[in-house]
Amino acid sequence: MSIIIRDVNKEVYAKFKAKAAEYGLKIGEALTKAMESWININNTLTDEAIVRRKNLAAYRSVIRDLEKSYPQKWGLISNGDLQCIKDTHEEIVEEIKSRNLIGKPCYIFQIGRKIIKRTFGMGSRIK
Amino acid sequence: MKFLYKKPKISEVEAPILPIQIFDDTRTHSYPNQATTDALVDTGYDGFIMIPIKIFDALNLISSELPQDQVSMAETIVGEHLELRTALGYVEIPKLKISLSLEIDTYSNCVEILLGRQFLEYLVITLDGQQKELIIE
Repeated sequence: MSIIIRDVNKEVYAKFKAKAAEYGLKIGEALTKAMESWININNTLTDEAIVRRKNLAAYRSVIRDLEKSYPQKWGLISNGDLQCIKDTHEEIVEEIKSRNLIGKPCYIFQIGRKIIKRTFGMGSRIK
Repeated sequence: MKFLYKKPKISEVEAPILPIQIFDDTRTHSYPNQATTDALVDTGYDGFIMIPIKIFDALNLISSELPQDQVSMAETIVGEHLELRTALGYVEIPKLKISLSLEIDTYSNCVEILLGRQFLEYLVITLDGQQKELIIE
């Protein structure tokens, strides 16, 4: 079958394509193997990891609307739902405490935060 | 204030080290519980602080994580991409009475606490290689 996939990371795709060629595989064949591996890996998710995934799905479902309505404000997601929007990070911390969320998977985020790539000059400490 | 160089965990060469204490975002957990732990000053890393995943878990930083889509992509000098997790928390240097709210990175194979360049931007640091001392004004 043929499919169209959007939002693929350009650099990762270039490496994937090169690796597939190295092994003499077509992109579709390599992608099928990669998807099978990914499914196998994710069959062993912990409860905590499952909640984190739900939180991420919740974040992705609301972030575009939040960027329009609440730029620069702070959000809290837990249990797979947006819990609240606040003006400051400190207010979000208070919400975590008052809702007894310490130790539970949560996402804290500033809406519209600029993301800067991290780099490491010394790979030796990152085995 | 002066801090003598020490040997990091996975290097035989003495290096600039700062004694720090790390807190979660609600300040209900700290690492270590009392006193401080050594953190290697690493100008090759451009984040704030990188900690081993065991410490990340012990601090309950899972409750103050940034969404994966807001976590920076990380790349090593050889072009390897790393999947980081990042949370909000605090780092203190008790001897200097400094407390900073910042982003705490972790990576599954990280074995050493690293203080990166964004952390160092809060301080004026001199590395005296001849005396093997880190000096903070």
